[in-house]
Amino acid sequence: MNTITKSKFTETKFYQTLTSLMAKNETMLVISIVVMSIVIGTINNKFFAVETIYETLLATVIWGIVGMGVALVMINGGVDLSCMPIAMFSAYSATKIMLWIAPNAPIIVLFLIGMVIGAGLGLVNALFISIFKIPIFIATLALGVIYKAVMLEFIGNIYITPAEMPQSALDFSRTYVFGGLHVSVLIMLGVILLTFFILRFTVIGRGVYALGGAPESAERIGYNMNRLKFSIYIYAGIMYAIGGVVYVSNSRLADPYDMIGTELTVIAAVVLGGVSLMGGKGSVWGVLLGALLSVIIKNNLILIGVTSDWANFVFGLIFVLAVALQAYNTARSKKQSA
Amino acid sequence: METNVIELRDICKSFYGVQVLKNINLDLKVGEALCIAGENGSGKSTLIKIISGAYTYDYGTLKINGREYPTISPSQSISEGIQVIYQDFSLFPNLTVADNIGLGYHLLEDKKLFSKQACRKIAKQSLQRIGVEMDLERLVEDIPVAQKQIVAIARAIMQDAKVIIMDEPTTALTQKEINRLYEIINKLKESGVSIIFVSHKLDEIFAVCDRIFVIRNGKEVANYPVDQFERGKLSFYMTGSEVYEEPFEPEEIGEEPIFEVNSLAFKDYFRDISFAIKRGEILCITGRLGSGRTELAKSLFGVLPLTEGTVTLRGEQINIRSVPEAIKNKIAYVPDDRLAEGIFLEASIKNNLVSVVLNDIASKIGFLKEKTKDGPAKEWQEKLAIQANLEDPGKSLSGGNQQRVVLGKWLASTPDVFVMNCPTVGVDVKSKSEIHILIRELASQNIAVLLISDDIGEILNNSNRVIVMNDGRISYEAETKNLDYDSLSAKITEII
Amino acid sequence: MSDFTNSIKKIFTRKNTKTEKARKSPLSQRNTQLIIAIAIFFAIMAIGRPSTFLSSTNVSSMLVQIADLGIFAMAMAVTMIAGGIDLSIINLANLAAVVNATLLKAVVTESMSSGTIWLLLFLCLIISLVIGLLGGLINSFLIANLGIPEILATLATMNLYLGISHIITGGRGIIGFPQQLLDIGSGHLGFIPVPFIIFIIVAVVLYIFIHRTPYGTHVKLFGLNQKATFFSGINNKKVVYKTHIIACMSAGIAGLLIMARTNSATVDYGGQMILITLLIGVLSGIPATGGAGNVINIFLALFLNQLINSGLNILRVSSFIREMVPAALLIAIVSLEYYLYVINNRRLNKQALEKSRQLNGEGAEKEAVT
Repeated sequence: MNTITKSKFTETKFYQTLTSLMAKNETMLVISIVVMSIVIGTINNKFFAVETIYETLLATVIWGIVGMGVALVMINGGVDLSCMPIAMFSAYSATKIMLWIAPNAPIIVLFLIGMVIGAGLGLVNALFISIFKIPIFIATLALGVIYKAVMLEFIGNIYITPAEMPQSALDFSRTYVFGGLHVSVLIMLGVILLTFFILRFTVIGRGVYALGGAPESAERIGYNMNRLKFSIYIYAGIMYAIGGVVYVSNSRLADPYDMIGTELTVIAAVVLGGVSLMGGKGSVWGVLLGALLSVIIKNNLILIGVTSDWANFVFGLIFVLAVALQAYNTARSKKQSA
Repeated sequence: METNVIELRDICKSFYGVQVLKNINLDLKVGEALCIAGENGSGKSTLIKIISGAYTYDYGTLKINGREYPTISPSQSISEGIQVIYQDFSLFPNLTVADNIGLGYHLLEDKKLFSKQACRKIAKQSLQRIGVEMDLERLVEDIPVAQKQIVAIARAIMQDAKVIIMDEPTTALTQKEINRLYEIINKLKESGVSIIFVSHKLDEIFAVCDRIFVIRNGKEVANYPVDQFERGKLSFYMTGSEVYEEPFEPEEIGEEPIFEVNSLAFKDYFRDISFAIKRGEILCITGRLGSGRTELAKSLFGVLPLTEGTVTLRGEQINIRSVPEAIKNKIAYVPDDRLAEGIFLEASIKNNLVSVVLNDIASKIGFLKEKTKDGPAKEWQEKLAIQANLEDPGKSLSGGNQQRVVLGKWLASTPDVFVMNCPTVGVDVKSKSEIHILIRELASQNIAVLLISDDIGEILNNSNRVIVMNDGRISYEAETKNLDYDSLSAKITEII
Repeated sequence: MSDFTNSIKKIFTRKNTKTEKARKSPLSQRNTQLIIAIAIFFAIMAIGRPSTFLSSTNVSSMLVQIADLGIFAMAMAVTMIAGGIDLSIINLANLAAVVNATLLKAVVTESMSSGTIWLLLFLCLIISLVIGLLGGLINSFLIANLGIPEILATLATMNLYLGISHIITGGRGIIGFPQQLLDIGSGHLGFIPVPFIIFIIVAVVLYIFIHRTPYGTHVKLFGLNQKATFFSGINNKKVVYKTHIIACMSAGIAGLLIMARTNSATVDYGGQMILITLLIGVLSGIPATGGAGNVINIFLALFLNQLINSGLNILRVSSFIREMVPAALLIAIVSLEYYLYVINNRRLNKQALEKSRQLNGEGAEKEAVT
């Protein structure tokens, strides 16, 4: 009867807030990031320089933006493997279209064209997932391959060199604010804030969680399932497209073979960020922190003596540990409440 | 003024070729409390889900507030003012109590923005009406089952409903909470809200309802104002025949108990549970949802390994730490949720029947031919008179036949102890009485039978001793021959 | 007990209704459909391009190509029957190949006798199986003991195994193996290529597992309803372990076969193959949610896939489109299956409705209550 005679300490408010804070995935991530930073910082004292921090943030941008879409799909209860194909498809096609119709248009046009294409591809995803009830994983895996093939066959398979890139994209890649912070970091923050707002303060955003937690109940209290699912996948498609356009602009190169194949990095960051493997739970800040942590680890592996041959292994190990840790935590909290 | 809120004409509905509703005609008047009664599996839940838009009907017409709906979606149904308290609660385990209660309001009002404050306010008001306080910020997955039912009720009554459908809303509630619910229902009626109350508990029906609509095998069999309805006739209408069961009387009770348990406990769910089943006896355990009876049954089957206590089978102490271990000790278990835990709907009847004994019928080195399965499968199909092709899927069977398959797979394993968790839920009356005879036969054959049931008639007729559980403890124990229907139901009401 | 079982027989009554045996046209059977599809494709190709398609080199190369894809497809199919997936099998096969390649490179010398090399190759087989076993154990531990969804668990280990291969090779391919190994890869037994025979052996073993052991029924029931298997005393964890160990050990053999066939071991061979294995599983009639499956059908689906592939090859379709075809087929088949399910459901319901209306019309309301 240990459960009845609890010690006094466990009943104090301090202990309770402490445990609830510790149970929060975000707290663990912040601690991990701080610890990692201290370790790396002691080896390389440049790590804490403003430039390095800005650089780290810039490297996080793609994973943060695309991660918003992936997180949304995962809260809905599935893994989206079509994220990077959609990102590349949208960015590459948008660049081609813009070069074709208005090569001198401002960067916003490039973004808008990309977003429209991304939304369209998200719509295709939703069509097969929502109407034909194909399991999310199989649908996105297969559609990802199809998007890539369609792009390479019908849109183009030759990369657009920096010399050919739209001027506005080149300008964008050189736009800095606050003494060296790249503007795309602001875009990432904007996208995260927007997603946060939608998830927290809109009825459709709560529907994403409701759908992930109990799909049947969500329908029964009056959510239109098709509308909800289409919204999720179209929004995710737009996120991927933004990520793709930012990537293409920043690298001043639109290579249709690029990006595709890095889906797992995003998924790992999202899982690391604490989005539930079973759907229904997860926060945008967790995803940001997860992306940040994986970038810090990836970018500094060589610094702490890991050769590039080991990079894949370390990434794989982190991925395994992230899923295992989350599953372990879920099991433990379930046991406690039972 | 006699206007109908809901009008159903000739409603038919089938699932994969099995017709579950046949030409249902139903009117619901303003401010009326209508009881829909019927056995489990009679189609009453399907009927409700058609009104609420969760299912589409195949044929007929559905009119709500005078408007005809050839098809209706849940959101249309809700905007017509229909609220449902589902039997399974239909809550969101990953959201807080406040969100669960308030989310529906946001959808009803077609709001785009979600306000946490609004949710809290609504949740608070709504819970106050029921007279319950609870932590609004807790996740629903963390609260006990009785509170979940209250949240489901609170969610339905907070919205400006014209019709509230309650599908067995009292399964987990205490008598005090039930009385409170009656008061709310009466107030709602006065303010012109119509109620559809699904139940088969007589007391409840007569406490709140104006009219009784009885449904059996998907057909309407009775539709009377409550004051013209004979109390004693309900079970006749529901079952279709005046089944008279000879009350169970053990042929002879052995001296030594076959199965004995001592001060069992599982975490906070139950404790100090001791009883013994002697040869020839049938012991029945009852109690409301959340009383610990289901957990007890699951513990005896190794699902929830006991945290304390000893179990003795035929004089030998046994350990049941897992389901395979329970089966090794010859304990069988019929789950209450047949569709989810008992039968493999998509698997063939053959595979269902041999699922427990697969390893036993395999050859010594572990091979198993498809033909080897035919033997035991055919044997039990014949003995239990399951009318179907062995290769047909389990889903093609009726509820009664499905339960026979579940019983058959356990009988094939020649058990010593048979734990039956509500074995006659959702089976037709004929199969029900056959299952009852089977239970008695098991008892006479030196098998310890532990029957868990809600059905007072079933308890009285098919056990010689009854235990009522409440709050994880045994709170009442008696010989059934000293009890009749009214005294036992009064006793149960008094306890919980 | 016999007394008892006889007395039970008297309890339950037989209703005097005739059970209607659902008439199933043979066309609705998956193996018939597959055979018809194969026949049609075969006929088209044999008539259209008899010289290239029916040449013995083409047939022989088809059989060789089937071999390692076939083993992967069988491995994936077992996990699909269990209602899951194992994305790590191909990287695990590559890991097995890389480990064996490194070993052979380090040990084999010019002067080694043929017997010693054969012994070494046997050792390689053991190593492949052990690597498969370990991989299966890791995958199953994550899935069964930690409760991680299979997709994420195997996605994670897929990376882990790739990472280990990278550490071993530094990402470079290893080429040049003893002639004895290459002989296996390019050898023929009569007309039939040796790799194909190895595939057949693996397929037969899997056939026995799926169709001739209690495990075979366990895994199908597990794929249908894990709660019900749990309540039937079937050890769910054991089913997960067996499934993934079988899949991963098959993958280990495939790794060795790839070495023998291509004379190389690379960390990322067969990247596109996962999708094709899923396609073959779905083609063979394994439902997207698992619970059924037939090794013969997988075999037929494999042939069909190979015919389609050869067809695209001969027709000189662009490589992009060729990569897309399995994905498009996968989507199309799963969509079609769902659509047919809906149609069939609607048809059955309509039939039931009509039947009941007929009964009502005849006034056969026998159960009317007075």
